[in-house]
Amino acid sequence: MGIKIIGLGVVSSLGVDVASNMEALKNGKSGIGKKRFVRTRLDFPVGEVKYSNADLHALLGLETQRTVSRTALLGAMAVKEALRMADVPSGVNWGLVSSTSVGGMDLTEHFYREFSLNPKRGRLRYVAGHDCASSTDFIAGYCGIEGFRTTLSTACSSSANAILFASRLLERGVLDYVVAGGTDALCAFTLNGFASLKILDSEPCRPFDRERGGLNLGEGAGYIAMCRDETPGTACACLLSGANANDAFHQTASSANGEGACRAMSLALKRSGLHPEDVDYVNLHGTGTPNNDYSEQAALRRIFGTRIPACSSTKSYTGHALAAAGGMEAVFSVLALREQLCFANLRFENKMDETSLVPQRKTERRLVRHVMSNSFGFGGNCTTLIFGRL
Amino acid sequence: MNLRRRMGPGMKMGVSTAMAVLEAFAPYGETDAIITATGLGCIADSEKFLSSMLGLQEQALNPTPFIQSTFNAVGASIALLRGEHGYNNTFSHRETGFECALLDAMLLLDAGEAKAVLVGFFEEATSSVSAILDRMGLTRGKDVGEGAVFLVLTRDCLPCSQAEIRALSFEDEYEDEGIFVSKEMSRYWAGAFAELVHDVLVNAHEGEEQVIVNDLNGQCHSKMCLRCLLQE
Repeated sequence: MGIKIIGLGVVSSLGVDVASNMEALKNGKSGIGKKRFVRTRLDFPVGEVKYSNADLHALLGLETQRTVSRTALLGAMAVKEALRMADVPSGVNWGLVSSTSVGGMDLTEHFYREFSLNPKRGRLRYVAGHDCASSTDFIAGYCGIEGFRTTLSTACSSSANAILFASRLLERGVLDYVVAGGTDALCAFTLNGFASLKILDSEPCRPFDRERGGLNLGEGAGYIAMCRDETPGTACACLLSGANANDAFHQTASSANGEGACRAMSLALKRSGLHPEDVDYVNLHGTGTPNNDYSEQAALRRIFGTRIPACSSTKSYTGHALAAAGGMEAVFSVLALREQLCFANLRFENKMDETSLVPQRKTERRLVRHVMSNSFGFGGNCTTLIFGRL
Repeated sequence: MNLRRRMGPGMKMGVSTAMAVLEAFAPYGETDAIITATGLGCIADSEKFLSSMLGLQEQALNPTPFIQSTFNAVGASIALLRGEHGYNNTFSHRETGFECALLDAMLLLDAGEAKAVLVGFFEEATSSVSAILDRMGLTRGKDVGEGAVFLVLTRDCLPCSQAEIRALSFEDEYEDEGIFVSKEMSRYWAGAFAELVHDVLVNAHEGEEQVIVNDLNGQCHSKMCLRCLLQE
């Protein structure tokens, strides 16, 4: 593909920069716990970013009175970090490809309380940032990205698709530099949505464990800055390939044989020119729901047979940050390559009855030449990205 | 089937328009990618879920409106109904989302990753959206538009091809000629550009070149040049 990665930015319940996320991943320290800031009656464990909106305003140097959705604040933190590392020259043809699944819903919820009683009420500034593009525009404005910008929204695979689309913009010469990823804030809307689907675990999630009881929602943002190989600049890894396929099975559930996941992984492998045995670590989608993890292991078996590489779901650290997950995990995949580490799949104890899959139990130093990262979403959207060393 | 029965207005418009386009295209080939764009997605479902969440104090909620509130619900439903396993993507970038979907399709075709791509836009209007936009002073008493526009892009010229996309660009400057998306419309209906593309295609004369400019707030957000072809 010829795309190199020149900047990383991540915000999660593990911390608001790459260094703190790396530290937690290394030490097997989960960010999942009791909610502090999200306003909801539900009491499920969450992967909440440990800073209030006021803290985030301060970290970003924003005026305290300014109304900005948490989604946009988290995104701005991560993009700012990615650009600090990438050092994009001024005056170049660049852009931002962002993604979100809830946009400014965290503020809309407050607006709607009053508006639903009387349509003349509710502060408009709480709903002005509702649509997906609003967070992208804020981030671009804050970070001074003046060129092309767009927003994708394909549920939980959003930021993986943003990275895939952005890589194509570079490949075909539409842009010379691009920042791509996604951001999502916790809100009562999504917590209730997943609760109504009965797929939230009331305990910290246990991806791929026989006793797994569902997912924990998380929040955060993950972005990578990229350019073509021949563009000057220091890179930390490269994006070898990516593929998007659809499961075409059910609105929310994944097929038992992991058809969509299998197609995405196999097409990404084909495009990278790699063989299955060249993949040393798979950052799994691994939400912790009985359905996803079963389907994903079935797809893995179809691709790798009995020789499944070291693999783990870092959602056991961060919770599932929906649209942001693919971007956060793209950053983690690059860190796995840079640090030659396979991250732990926390809280795994027992194999599923149906499979012998045992994910990585502890974060370990290993030879990591290529990393595969899976992101699957509602609507059967399955996307796989493959990263390599320089 | 259940899926069709549960659809909200945006889903119905989007999915039925897409199905009609696919049916018309069927004699000429099969599509292998689906790319949709929307401003607010299935906003009626978002509101329904929000409303029941508040009304029922976050207890015993029906998940259907939540599922359908996801922006990719239309693209996903088309894939599901058609059993299409190919590339599937959704943009939600207000007034330029449709152009981004077109760009994504053009890049896929250019890279040889697809032969025929279904590209579409959908948007539904609700009384709440109207009320909010009205309070923001954006509608000036006009109705908020809704609708769906779908088309198929192919790499090769087929007997059913209506026009050729000569250029699509996202630039700040443009020549002051062509067909413009009205500022007022596009401000609150993200589909104005898609609708204009549709109108140009319907009223096209052979060999005619048309430049369509999305010029919100006097700034050029995107520009597309279409050359109309002889139709069957």
